[in-house]
Amino acid sequence: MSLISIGVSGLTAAQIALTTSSNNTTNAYTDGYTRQVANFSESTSGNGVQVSSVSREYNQFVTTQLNGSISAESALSTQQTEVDQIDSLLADSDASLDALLQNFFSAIQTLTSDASDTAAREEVVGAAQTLASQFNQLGSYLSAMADDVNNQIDDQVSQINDLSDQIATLNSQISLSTTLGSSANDLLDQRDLLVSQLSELVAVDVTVQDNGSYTVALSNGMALVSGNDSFALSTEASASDASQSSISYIDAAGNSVTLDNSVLDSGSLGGLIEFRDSTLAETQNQLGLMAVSLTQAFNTLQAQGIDLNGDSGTAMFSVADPVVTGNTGNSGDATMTAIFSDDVSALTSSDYTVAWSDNQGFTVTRNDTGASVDASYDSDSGTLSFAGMALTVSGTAEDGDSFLVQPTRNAASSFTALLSDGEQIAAGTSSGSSDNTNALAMLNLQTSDIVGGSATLSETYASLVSNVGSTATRVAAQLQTQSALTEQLTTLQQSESGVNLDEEAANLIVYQQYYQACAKIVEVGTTVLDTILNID
Amino acid sequence: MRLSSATIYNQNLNSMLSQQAAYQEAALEVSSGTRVVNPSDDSLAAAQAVTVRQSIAANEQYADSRAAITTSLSQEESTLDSINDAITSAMSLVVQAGNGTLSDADRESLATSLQGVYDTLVTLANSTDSNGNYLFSGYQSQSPAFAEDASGTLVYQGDDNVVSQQVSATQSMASGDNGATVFLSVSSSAGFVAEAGDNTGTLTFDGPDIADSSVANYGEAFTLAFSVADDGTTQYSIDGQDPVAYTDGETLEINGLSLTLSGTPAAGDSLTVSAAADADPDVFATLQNLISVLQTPVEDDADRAALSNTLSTASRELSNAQDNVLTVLTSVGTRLGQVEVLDTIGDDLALSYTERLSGLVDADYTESISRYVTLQVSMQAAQQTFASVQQLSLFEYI
Repeated sequence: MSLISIGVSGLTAAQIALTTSSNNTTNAYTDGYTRQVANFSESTSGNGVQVSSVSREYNQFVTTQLNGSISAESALSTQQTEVDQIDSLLADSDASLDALLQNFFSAIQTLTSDASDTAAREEVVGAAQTLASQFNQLGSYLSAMADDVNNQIDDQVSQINDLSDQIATLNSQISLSTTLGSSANDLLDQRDLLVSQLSELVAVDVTVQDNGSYTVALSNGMALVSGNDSFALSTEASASDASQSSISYIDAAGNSVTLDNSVLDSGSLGGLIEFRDSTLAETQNQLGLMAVSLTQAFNTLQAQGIDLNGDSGTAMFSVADPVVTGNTGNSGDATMTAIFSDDVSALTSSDYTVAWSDNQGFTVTRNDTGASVDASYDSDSGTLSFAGMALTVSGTAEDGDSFLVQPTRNAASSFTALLSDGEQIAAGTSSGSSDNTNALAMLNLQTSDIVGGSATLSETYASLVSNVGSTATRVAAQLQTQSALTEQLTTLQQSESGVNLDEEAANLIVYQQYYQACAKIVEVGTTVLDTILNID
Repeated sequence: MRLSSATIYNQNLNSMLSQQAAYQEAALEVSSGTRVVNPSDDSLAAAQAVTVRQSIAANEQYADSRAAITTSLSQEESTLDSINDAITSAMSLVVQAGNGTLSDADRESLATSLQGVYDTLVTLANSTDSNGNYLFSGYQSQSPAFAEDASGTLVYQGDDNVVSQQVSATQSMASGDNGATVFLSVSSSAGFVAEAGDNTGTLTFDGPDIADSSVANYGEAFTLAFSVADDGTTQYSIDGQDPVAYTDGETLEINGLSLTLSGTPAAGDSLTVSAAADADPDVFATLQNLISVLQTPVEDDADRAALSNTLSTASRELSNAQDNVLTVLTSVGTRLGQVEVLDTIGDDLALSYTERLSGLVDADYTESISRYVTLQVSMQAAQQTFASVQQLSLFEYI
């Protein structure tokens, strides 16, 4: 082997090493890039050197852990974004609900000072309307958030399908290029980046097959990507509640299986579902409960009183009736309509499920605790009464049919002040224009336990504020912990796969010198040859 | 551990950004002076603040109620003072009218004076507040408390109710009194009144006075009905019992009450004695009676006896009416005193609620300014670190 060819093998190796290092340097800040290293070995043909491979500095274990952490962080950060909106919505201001409630009661207090004063009566009507519009505003904002969350869920499901598709495509490209024996480092980087992006949306388990292809599965084992195939998720209206999106898995045979929410407990998709079904629903229901309690309490007093015109009082507020939705899987033709009873002290902020079984008849359970609720069914009138509601059943339910009852979900946005004229306020219980006994009773509602029979309006609002505040605080704290973990894992993953520019600079210097040295060998070889050739 | 350049960059950047966020939050706290704006700032304090704000609002409402009550009670107080003065002058006119040397013309002029007092009282009874509400009409504040009916009699048009308001969390208080209480009642300590019927004889009475309050049917009302027996003797029967012979100047003792009778009653004359409260007290009716008696010329002994009896009854009734007005006046004064005490308590409460609220949501300036300064320093440090670390590179040397 000549010196020249030895030198040339070094030059080739140095060039590959320099190329690798340059590639590392230029991609130092590229997402998903994995540092590559040129591996040198002795030339198999005898003397000289060869680059046996350019390998990826990649650790599957750390990457899997990192992806898991990214899923959890993404769920929390999605929740935080959403919860923070409600948090700001309930921020203290002159227009916050408790301030407007106080204004309303303060107007009633002025009315008790002089029930015949029409100006004081108009004040009450105005305060009631302001209060109602604030309830509406909060209610509609929350409904809009619910719609937005459902839209986001649709979006994210289509992103997940998109990513699954791309990963399946990369699986096939990678196995092809492996078969051809060429390096597929850039494809591998891309695939890992896609898995990481998928992990942000939903928690997935990745299994590496012998041929190097990834099997990507949901936490219940259903595969999104298997070899060259991908399987789609779809969204549709939930069977129990048409206003909510639920997510289904479509298997190879095209069958659709509704996924339980627990499967999607991580990733931003999980975060959205968790927020929608807990904080958002609870806030909507609790605000609604306040509106319903206020309505029933004031309307009951109005009906007992006499207004300034000497007539019996008419309703002061109105709210939408409870919403009852039959499960789309019901086999019977029963439908239900619900109204609130006059006494709503048993009403809670929970939703309820009414189920019919041929053995037990109607059973009612609370959706938040799962506890069963006492219900009485009057078969003559077909009325099912529980928790401050009366449901009228028409048609016939079949065994296993169920109905979702949402008493207060839409109450806040439908809360309306009905009185337009101060004279309609039934301040008294007699025809005397200064009779303020009923107004005093109304004022007394401010400090009465009219919400669920156990809390005042102000206490209910306080607990709403406390719930939202503590949820926001808890999510922020969890997010902080999870972010720290993600950062640690990122650092760990980067310590192996990341590019250090100083290191690459050193490599460039080294391989440049190496290149010069190899070039020297070629020069020496040439000189040696020349020496021989020049003997004369 | 090997660090990638991206890690170094990201870590420095993130630490600078989080310092900046914390710094911004501290700056906001200092500039707004508020620690808790969003519930998440301190969920417990935010929830408690809602409750405290509600207490503050309720406390303010009670204060407003008390201010309104003070205004109406003060007006009632001065009105009652004037009513008291009017009754006093009526009483002195009654004393003057008792002077036996007065002529019919003198009495006519006293009647005119009394008519003036009567008109004053009617005006006072129909006083209105600044909103035009009648003070003494109960719930019927849009109609005058007293108005003349078709026959010219002054009739109470209000009701038996009194407007009351919540003046503290636990106490409600009447913001006035109705006309029935002021003008158509006697105080519980009022005694007994005797009233002669439409008599034609010359019977006059003195009393009634309490003789023995321990007898079984003490204080029960009774009526003496006079008649002339077949033998010409005058006799009387008590509440329809068997007649008893009448002696001029005798003092009777019936149901624990003593009554001295003199003069000669005619057959069909009567005299009724009852507790003042049961005798349909009505200061306006009393005055109207007086006026009509004073306007009647005195021509014989029977007229003189009627005048004397009416003056005697009226004098008692006016005295009772005055006592009653003074009782109401005392109760008004007591209520005003209570309101004042409640005001003091309310002010103390307001102060302690405000302090409580401030403790819950307001920034502690010492703490928040020192945190602000600390964060400022550490943010500057983070910025400097970022800049200097980014300068460090081997590429600088090749």
